Amino acid sequence: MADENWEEVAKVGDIDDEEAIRVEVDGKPVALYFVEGTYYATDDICTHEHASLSEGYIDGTTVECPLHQGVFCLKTGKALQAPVEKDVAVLPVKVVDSKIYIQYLS
Amino acid sequence: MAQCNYVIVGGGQAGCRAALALRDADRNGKIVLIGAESHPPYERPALSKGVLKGSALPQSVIIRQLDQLAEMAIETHLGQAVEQIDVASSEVVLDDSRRLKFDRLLLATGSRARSLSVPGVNLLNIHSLRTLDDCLALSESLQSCQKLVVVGAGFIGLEVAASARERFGCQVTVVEAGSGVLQRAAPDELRSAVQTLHKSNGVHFLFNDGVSRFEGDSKLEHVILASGRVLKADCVVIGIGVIPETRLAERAGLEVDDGIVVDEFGETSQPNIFAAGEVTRHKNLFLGAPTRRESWQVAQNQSTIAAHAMSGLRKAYNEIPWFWTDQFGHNFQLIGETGPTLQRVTRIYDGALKSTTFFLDKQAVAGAQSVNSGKDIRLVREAIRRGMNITPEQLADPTVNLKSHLVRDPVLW
Ligand code: FES
Repeated sequence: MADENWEEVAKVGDIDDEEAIRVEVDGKPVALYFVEGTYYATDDICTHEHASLSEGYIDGTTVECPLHQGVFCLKTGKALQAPVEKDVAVLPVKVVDSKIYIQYLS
Repeated sequence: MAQCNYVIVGGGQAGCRAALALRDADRNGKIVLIGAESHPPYERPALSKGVLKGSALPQSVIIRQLDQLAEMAIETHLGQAVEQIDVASSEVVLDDSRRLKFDRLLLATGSRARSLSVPGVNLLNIHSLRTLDDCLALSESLQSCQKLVVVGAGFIGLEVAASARERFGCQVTVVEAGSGVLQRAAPDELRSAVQTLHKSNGVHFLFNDGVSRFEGDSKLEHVILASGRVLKADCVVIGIGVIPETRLAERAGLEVDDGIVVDEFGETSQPNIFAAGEVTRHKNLFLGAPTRRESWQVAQNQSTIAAHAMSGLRKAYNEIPWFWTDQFGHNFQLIGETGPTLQRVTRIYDGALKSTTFFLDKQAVAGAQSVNSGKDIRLVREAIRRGMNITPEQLADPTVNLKSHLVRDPVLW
């Protein structure tokens, strides 16, 4: 994939450790997580029903959905605990000059 | 070891989860899943919410399709009832008189909707909501329904009321024998939050009243209440609770007490017969006293415990009870202990309707109830498990980060 479609979404320091914020990438809601020095991004909306994963509980490199406690891996997007069965999409993240960028598929 | 014959009676969430767990635990055993409904195993929570509202497809509730089960060598007999358990010969007898031998039997027969025994209850457009077919039939009726009467202000009744208003814009009246909503199941804070939400969304309530009869000419037209009040209605949903489906167990001589009695391993009073899910009065070490619960969590996890015990891996059921309901786009959850004698502290977040009530037992967080703050529920689960050093003032302050007050897990740190 060409190195394009990077959107600036936040600055380093905007998110506390083990927290997440909701940002928009290409007009769509994305959850941006910060865990032990690394940023991760997934679609914000759970694959089960309509819940915002950025409001979920982060435990290591997993996020637990606030609605029905489904769990996803932040690195791979894999659905790890019922009731979620479908993986969530992960998006590439990079940090340049203290700015955080997320790449979307065009 | 010779191949073990496992038979599971009940093709719902508990039966299916048990079958999957059994297959995990025993690669070679023969597993037979018998279900009275003809659908593949499915989860019920969305039937009164997403599926009825139209935000989730009926297909989305299916746990595993039949070909997926077949691939795991789980044999299914759906649309088939079990007539009898022959304890002496370790066989179940199907409705076509076939007999299936078992070494270990699991009863996951669930519940049936309680019905009203009043005149006119068999008129067209009077529904209950328990199965996927019930849900589809109700959806169909609601398409052309202007006036809906819901009997019973428990979770199912309220979820149906909310879905009917949201999707179909029906005028909804809820008739309830008690003096408010959710009288059986919930702490006061939850009851009043839910009741307020419904009223502000135009649901009408008639408390301290009941149905004396339904009237109509083949099709429902009027609901006549005990108070004498007459309600015009195109459609009725009866949501007055469920009855655990224990008939098979009773006839087999198993111990039954408003639910099939099982221990913390899912074992019934009869060796080699186990029971799982909401049909059970089960022991959960976290709670102590045996309990019967109509919840997704029990169907999901207590069934796995029972399946493991069947395969010889005995691990006690020990889980913090947790429950959720979604109504009018709001999510309500309960976890742990929320009894009336506990001290309560509520934190209210800015903006949207969002709050958490914590229940304290001698200063320690023992349970919580949330309105649109599911993350707190997850934190309370952690707090119950490993402790939280926090004052009531801090709990009440929405700017205080709860996570930083958790006692660090000695195992992990
Ligand atoms: S919406 Fe995420 S688990 Fe249900």
